[in-house]
Amino acid sequence: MSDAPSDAEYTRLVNEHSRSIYRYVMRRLTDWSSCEDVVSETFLIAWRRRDQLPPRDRELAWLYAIAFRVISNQRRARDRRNRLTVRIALERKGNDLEATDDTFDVESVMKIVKYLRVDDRVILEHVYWERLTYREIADILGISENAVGIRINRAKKSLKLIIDQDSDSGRLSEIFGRETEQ
Amino acid sequence: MTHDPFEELFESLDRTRDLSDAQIGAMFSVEHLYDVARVQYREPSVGRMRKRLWRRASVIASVAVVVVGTAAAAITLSRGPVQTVAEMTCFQGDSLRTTPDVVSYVANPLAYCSQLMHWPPPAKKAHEKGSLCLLSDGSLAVFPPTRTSKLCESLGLTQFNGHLANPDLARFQIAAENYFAVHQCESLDSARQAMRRLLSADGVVGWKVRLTGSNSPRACATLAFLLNSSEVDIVGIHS
Repeated sequence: MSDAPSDAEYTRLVNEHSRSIYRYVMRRLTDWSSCEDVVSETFLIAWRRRDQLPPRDRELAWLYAIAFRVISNQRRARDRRNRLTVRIALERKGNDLEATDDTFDVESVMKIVKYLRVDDRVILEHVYWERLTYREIADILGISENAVGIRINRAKKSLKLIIDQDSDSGRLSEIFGRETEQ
Repeated sequence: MTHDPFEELFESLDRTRDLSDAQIGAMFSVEHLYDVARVQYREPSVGRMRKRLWRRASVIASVAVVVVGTAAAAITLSRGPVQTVAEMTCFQGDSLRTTPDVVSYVANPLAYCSQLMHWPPPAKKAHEKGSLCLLSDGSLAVFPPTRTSKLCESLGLTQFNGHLANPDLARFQIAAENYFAVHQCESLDSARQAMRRLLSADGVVGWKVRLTGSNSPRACATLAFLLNSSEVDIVGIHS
């Protein structure tokens, strides 16, 4: 094909960002065997939209946005096929995660987070897992920067409320209670 | 230094936290990614066609979940109003073979799909801001601006006439979708009661709510509309 993009540019994109994209996808999918497919599709779309490649300091967020949609599409397709509603990583116990004295009980955390609205959970994941700026999260989710701030506050309040109301949250409740008192 | 308990909470859920980039690189074939796009573009007759066929198959499969039976499809094809608003399909280009993205129905489909699919700005001679057609299941297909007039017709689809076939049912479908988006692992009984409440609140008559799938107490309720038999299926899936 005559419209082949620059191999060097594409290779650089893969070299610089593929591990971050793998990490992003692995955090969100329980089926690790699907990760490679999702990442491949993400870079394929990036190749197709190469004329929209942003400046280098925004490349990663741009790839995150593509991966986010690929994951969402994959879930929707799977849900439609199986009549399943979206159920993601949090519903299963993480692979090698085990509770210890100085960490949260992962099972109780998963239970708590599962009660969050999907969009609340998604936005907190981008804040705490990818540590993105409001601007970057706004670009990924297709909302305004202002809306990001509002949603983060709402999500935190909801999460805190769920923890307060859950009698089984134990150490979580203790830590969040202590934080509030300080 | 302030401690953020939310940060600690989410870190505990991060399954990659103990993996270095090198370890992640070793788990997957990064080299494979170098070749993905090149192979796709250099061998369009094989790779792209397979991809397109797969996509078409996935669209058809998704449609089949919502509408059961070809008779219903044949009937809806000849009508203009949208029959189902549970979801709509945004297309990347002015063809059914371009990348589709099935999303929940929204009030302004053209604006939404334009943003979602990153449609390029319309050309000078483009018709309108895009095209709204009906797929065979009676749901909306949304295409970007094109120079082709009567795009729906040229694709063998019916043009959307701007009306909902049944506004009450449409309201119910949207409310039901929203309910399940929020309640991701509801018990079957709770979901059935909620659907009955919504049917009643939206004034939908003649519809039944049926429980199918797993009846285990731990099963999560999921949703399916059977338009031709006027049924809402609450399907139990093992968590």
